[in-house]
Amino acid sequence: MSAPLLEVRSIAARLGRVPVLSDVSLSVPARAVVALLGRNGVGKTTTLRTVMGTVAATDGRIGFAGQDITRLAAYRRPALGIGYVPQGRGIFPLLTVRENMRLGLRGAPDPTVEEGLLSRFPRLRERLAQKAGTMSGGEQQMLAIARALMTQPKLLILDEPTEGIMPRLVAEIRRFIAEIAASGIAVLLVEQNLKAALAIADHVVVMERGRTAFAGPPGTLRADADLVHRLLGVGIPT
Amino acid sequence: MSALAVNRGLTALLLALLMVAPWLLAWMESEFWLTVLTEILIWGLFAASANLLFGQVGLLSFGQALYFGFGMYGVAIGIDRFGLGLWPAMGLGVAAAIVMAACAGVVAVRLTWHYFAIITVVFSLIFYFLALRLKPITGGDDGLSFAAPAIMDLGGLRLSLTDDATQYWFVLLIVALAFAVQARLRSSALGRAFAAVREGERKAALLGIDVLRVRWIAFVIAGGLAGLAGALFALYGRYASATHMYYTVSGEAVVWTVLGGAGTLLGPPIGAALLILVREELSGIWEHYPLIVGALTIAVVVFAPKGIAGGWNALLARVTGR
Repeated sequence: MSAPLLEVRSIAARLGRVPVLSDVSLSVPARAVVALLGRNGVGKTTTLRTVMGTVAATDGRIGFAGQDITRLAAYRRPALGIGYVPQGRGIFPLLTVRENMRLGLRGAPDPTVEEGLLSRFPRLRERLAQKAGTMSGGEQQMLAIARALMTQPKLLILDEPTEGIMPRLVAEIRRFIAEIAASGIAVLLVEQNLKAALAIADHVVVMERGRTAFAGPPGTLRADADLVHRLLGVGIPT
Repeated sequence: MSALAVNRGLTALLLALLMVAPWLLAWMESEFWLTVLTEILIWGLFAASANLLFGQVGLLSFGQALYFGFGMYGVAIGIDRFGLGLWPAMGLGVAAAIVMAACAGVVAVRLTWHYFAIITVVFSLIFYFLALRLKPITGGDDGLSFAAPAIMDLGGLRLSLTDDATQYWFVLLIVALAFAVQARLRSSALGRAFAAVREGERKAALLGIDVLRVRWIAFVIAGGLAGLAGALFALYGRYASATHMYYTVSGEAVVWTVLGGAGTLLGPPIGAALLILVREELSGIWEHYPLIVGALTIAVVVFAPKGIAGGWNALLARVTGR
């Protein structure tokens, strides 16, 4: 792997007084896809929120593109080239699709980028003037991903992008994530579906009780059925 | 026809009616209503100031009268004490309101909900009592009276506020420009940032929006709008008084905003117009007319929580299917 774009070193974090992360480390190299896995409640979402700055790291270091961003304000991080699609999508339901897409931009939208995304998601083009809250969960997820890509990030962070989405749209969203990765944007992905995660990831990180329990290539994890069962409570997907 | 096209058509019709209002009212022999209409325009602009904070950014301010007062005193002091012309005096009033809002905003925008509302009232009360105390500057209880300079004096062409129709068109021009700027602002990146902050601060921050900065900018612009309304009101009455800096005046702007439709562009002036017309019609008949205003406001909040304009937009969306 090349030099890491995102480097998380031994971070710890609390939610209120409750320690949630105690020792999490992970690296996302440029142009790579890293899947962050683990059972419910192990701290995957908190790890992403700590990377994005909405949860403060109480220990450790977060670096992005060679810069220490551990103490950087949350609103300054997207400008460095980090796009984030949070769990629950984080769209603005009372704003239109077009307004949502342009929210993260500092100036006028790049017409090529916007047009490219609307061509990829024709459903969004059909609903540009519609309030985002009136769309289905899958369409809202497409909007959230498209919005994150409007700023042309170097790294896209996705927190369970297929959660609560109707099955026929899940495949489309997964296909698009693979296209994003192929286009050269690094991806850090939290995904409940182990088979889907192993299929797309170059590197896998598995968390257990607020710590990194495994980090390595998908093949290594796939080869250790006991480890998969202990950390994820499932069998090796066929 | 789309809802947007209908609303644009109605706005153009309203603007056309407002432009010919002096001739229409003269023909109807109802010139008195021209001064009422002038006042409605000014208070409508003041309501827009409260609406920018509450309807667009989600900050409920009960302190906009402070900046209205700075606008008033800026004009009055500029003309009466410094001998300024009309336009420089207006500039002074608006600049004073903006500077005050910029300073107060540094503290206020760090707070939200009731804490924000309380701090805006506190600022308003401090300067209300200061205005009463600083008699040599503000005229204290008596306020400051002045003779308004000409709007324009170019040889044979002299436009003066002493003519009611000229004063009305002058106010209409300024208010229409202020609303045009607001309409432009709503569709800009800053307008979208206002809406994002209103809908969710954390979500907005994750998109790279500096929430405190955006709130501060909105606070300053709202202060400028209130200051402009105050400057116009001082010119309209040729008078500035601390009475108009009291927080209950700010409360009226909030009521107009809620009644007319918070977050909409023209809802707040519609709310102001409705309640000023109710006042003009009923105050001479029944001294307890504010009870009707209260009942009307409660009815709108219960049956049309998005206000008159919000209710209209919902109806229009249903009819046009958009």
